[in-house]
Amino acid sequence: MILMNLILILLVGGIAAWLCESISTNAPKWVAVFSLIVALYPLRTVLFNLDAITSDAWLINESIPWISRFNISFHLAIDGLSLLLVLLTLTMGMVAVLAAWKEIKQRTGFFYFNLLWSLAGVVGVFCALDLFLFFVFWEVMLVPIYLLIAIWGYENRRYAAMKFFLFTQAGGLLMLLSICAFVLLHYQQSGELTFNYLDLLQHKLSDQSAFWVMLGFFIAFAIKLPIVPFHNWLPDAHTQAPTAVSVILAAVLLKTGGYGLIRFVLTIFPEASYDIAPYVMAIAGFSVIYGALMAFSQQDLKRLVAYSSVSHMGFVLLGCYAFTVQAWQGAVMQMLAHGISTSALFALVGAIQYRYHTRSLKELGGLWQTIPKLSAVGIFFVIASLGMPGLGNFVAEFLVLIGSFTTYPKLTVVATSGLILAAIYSLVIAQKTFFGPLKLGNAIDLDNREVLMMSSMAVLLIWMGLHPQPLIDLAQQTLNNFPLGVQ
Amino acid sequence: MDIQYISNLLLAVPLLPLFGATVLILAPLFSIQIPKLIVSVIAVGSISLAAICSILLNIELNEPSFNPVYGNWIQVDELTISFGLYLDALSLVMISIITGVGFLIHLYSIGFMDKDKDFQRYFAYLNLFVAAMLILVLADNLLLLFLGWEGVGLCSYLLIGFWHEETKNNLAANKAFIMTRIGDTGMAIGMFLLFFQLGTLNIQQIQTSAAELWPLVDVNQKYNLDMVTICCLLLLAGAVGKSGQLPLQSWLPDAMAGPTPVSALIHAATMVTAGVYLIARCHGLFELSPFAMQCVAAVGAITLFIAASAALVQNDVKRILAYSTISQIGYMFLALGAGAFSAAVFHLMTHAFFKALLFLSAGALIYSMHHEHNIFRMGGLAKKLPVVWLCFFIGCAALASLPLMSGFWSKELILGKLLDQHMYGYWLIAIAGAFITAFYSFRLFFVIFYGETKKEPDSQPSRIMVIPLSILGFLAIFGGIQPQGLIDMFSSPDSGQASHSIAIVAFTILVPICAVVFSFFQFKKGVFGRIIQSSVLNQIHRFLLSGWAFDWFYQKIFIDPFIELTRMNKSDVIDLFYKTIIGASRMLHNFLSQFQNGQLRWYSTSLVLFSVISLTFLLSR
Repeated sequence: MILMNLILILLVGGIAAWLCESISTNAPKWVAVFSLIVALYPLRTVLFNLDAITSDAWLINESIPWISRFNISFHLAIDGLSLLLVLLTLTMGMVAVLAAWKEIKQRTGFFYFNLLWSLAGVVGVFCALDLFLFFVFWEVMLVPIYLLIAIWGYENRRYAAMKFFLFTQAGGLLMLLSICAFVLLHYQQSGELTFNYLDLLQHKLSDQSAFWVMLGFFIAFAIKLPIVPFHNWLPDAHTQAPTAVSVILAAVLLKTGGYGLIRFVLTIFPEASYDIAPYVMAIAGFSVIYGALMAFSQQDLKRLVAYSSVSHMGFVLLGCYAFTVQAWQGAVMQMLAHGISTSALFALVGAIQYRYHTRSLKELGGLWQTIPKLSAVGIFFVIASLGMPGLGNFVAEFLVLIGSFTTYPKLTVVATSGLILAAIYSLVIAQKTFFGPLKLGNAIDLDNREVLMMSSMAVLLIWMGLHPQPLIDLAQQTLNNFPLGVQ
Repeated sequence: MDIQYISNLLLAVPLLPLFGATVLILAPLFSIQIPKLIVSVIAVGSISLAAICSILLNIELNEPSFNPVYGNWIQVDELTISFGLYLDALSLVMISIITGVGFLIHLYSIGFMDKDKDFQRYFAYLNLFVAAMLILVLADNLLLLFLGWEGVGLCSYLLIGFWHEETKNNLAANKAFIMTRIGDTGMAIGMFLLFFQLGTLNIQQIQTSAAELWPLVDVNQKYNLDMVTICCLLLLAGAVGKSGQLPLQSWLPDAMAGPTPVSALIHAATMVTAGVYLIARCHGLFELSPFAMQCVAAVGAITLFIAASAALVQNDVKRILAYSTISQIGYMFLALGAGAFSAAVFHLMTHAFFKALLFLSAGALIYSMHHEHNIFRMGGLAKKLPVVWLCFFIGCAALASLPLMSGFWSKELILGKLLDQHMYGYWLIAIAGAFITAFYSFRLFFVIFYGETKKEPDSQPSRIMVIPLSILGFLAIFGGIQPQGLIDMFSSPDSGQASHSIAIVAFTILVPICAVVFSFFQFKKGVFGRIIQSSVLNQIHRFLLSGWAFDWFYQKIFIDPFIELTRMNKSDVIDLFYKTIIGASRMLHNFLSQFQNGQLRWYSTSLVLFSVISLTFLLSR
């Protein structure tokens, strides 16, 4: 019951954090840190035996009946890909707690409750192998985030939270319809009612129905990823969310979209996905360019980073639909690398806002002169996000592009020009925030907590950039077991 | 030779400066103070150890090439990329230049940056740069090369904007990074294409499989845009961006915003020659495509002329040197295009010596003259700054390729090769360029050191600056010995040195001398720095001063439309769609909520109305 314990620890930790508030306002954050560390404990058997992983489809596979009337079970399992994303979730969850450390002063208990519950939802999404359960976790991660934005957000939080909720809910609705249609079609043909992923995987739908069912899933995940033209919730949500929530959003919530594409859309409907691939690739290329152009024109630092997210996640979609091994690996790497680098940027913007109470590029400038540590770290992550070789993002983008080039050379060339645009908006961040004459007063530089948080993310990125092979091998484990319909 | 020993030695070359950089970067992050002396020891020590390693490699390497692999970087399916270094005559020359000249410039920087408050950050960047540059020239595959390639670009960016309080410097840094990034993106696409076609990114394997896959059928197939040509042109895009060649050259003059030793190391001796290195490294590929070779030669020739003519009218000493760098790299490209790879790398080497010398002496000059850059506010300094005077003289003479200087041998070799290849048009441009080069170098020399004194120097260069200057001065005079390894590596059976008639040789030797004499008479007449009366001449002067108005052109064609486009769509046009949905539902809400107004007569009216309508509807069916 490893995975159930893992999720249970987070859920119980959340409740404990809430209850602890009455003891002290500082207690909840310690509870949160503690439960995130403890959550790693159940995974120990897997983590210490990574070398032994070879061919087995699932590293952990556990199932208990849940709603037996509809044959719905509490079926959780992880393979290489899910393990990577679960680890990312727990790590970045820790970063989120550290980012919220001083920023959140009101209703701390409820804050950490929501934070841990949303993380539990995300972990559930990455582990669920029952479509109904998957949908439940999909909602579990959504509601706490809505509350986090609506309660602890900045000036325009209600609008942003509502927008976030409606977009995701619209996607969720489509997904629910698809799930029901899929299950019913399966029931009609085989006479067996099941929500089990592995059973449904064996099932071949007719081309027509496969297309519509696939489309429902696809749009839900495309909204989450997000992909132009469904991206509009993201800049608002990020801008208004408290730093910790921005970190969670960028690091793990967007990844549920990419994960869903790989786990469900591409694996269950390879033919239908292959048919729409040219259009999706075009949309992905457009997303890369459009996101980058939008990022360049923003004056709000958080909005800028949010749009850069749109651009980066375009590479994930590009990699998913190129139907080559390299591109697919690149998409996974991009999810991990973007999760770290963009979260770090959001944490930095949060740190700047905490000190200067502004995120406007017009008001900032010359921060290096007063807070050099923060600025140096900032330059590092800006450089990472523009795809500097030696850091994780480069490996990811390189793999995506070199993989896509073999199948869609022209579109890949278009997407590659996104690298130039990435350099442009990234350098705008550096120049307008850290360099130039100092416009605002002095501030306190990064403290030890922040240095620890930032440097661990930097080390992760360097490690991913120079020695990505362990991660690639883990993800390859998933790929070997589910040959994604390479035609 | 002991393989283990050499591979360790080779690995130490890039890792030592990298280690220095890491220490210097991490210390302040964890609030550790390092005294200035220790900083200098770490920075200069690491690079001098690397220099010693590369000297040892020069002695130890007695095979044509050596290719140790230290591990795997990325392995996905058939894509395998290793951490492999490749040492042959070409990379040996490159690492010797980088560590040697790099060491001298580090040493000089101790004196030059002595009063700067960011002493440690400066050396951190500089060490990082050297490490990246070494990786660039040692990499055995294109991706590792690209790591070094982008790494040097990053360090160049950081060092151009080193004095970051001034927005002007940051803008120059951004410009440098983005313009080279444009070329790099072309190069990245080239890598994708090469991998797609050949299934490998290892440079040696690329060249052997390319030769098998795309054999050179006909040397005269000049304008055929086949696959190998496209690959070469994409690589050329990267080379052009990094080496400041047409059409991506205009970042280099602005890059002079950085500290002067940086200009010497990065923007003269090493990084900007990376493009030349890339083409020489991939020469097997380029030789398969006569058209691509033509393009390389054309880029070189046009650039060398444009840049030389722009250098004629500049008044900032560093900008003159920057344009002259662009122009000299143009010579190297021209040589590459003519198939004279060895001559190109030879010129790269001598250029590294004399241009580093010129920049460092310019640095000493600026240092002594209260940060004065304008040559027309100097004058008569020959007696007052004798060391600087001597260094400038040697540097200018080598740049002008006066007989027996180092630059003379390499430039003569290039000119000779052009004649061998019957590229007479290019030869003429090169000769014209040589004339202009000699003219502007001595214009620079005369204006600074002769005539009336306009400003007194306040200090002499310190000893730690003079030592590197004298070593470089020595190299700039006597460094004109072409490394034998290069000749062996690039010699093809049919390329015997054709002998040229005495008249042509004498002519090429006399051209720079005439230019110097001509320059002297112009100086005597007081032509330099005089205010121009004629409006046509004034226009031409302004045109040349702006480096043929490329900046203006790019501003109008690319930057302004780009900014305008993004500004127009600042609030995201796609959001309008969702805003419309919000607006529509709100309107509907307002409309419908009117009916719930609590007035009984409204309710009864609507009840009656609804009953009537529905009854009519039902009955009429």
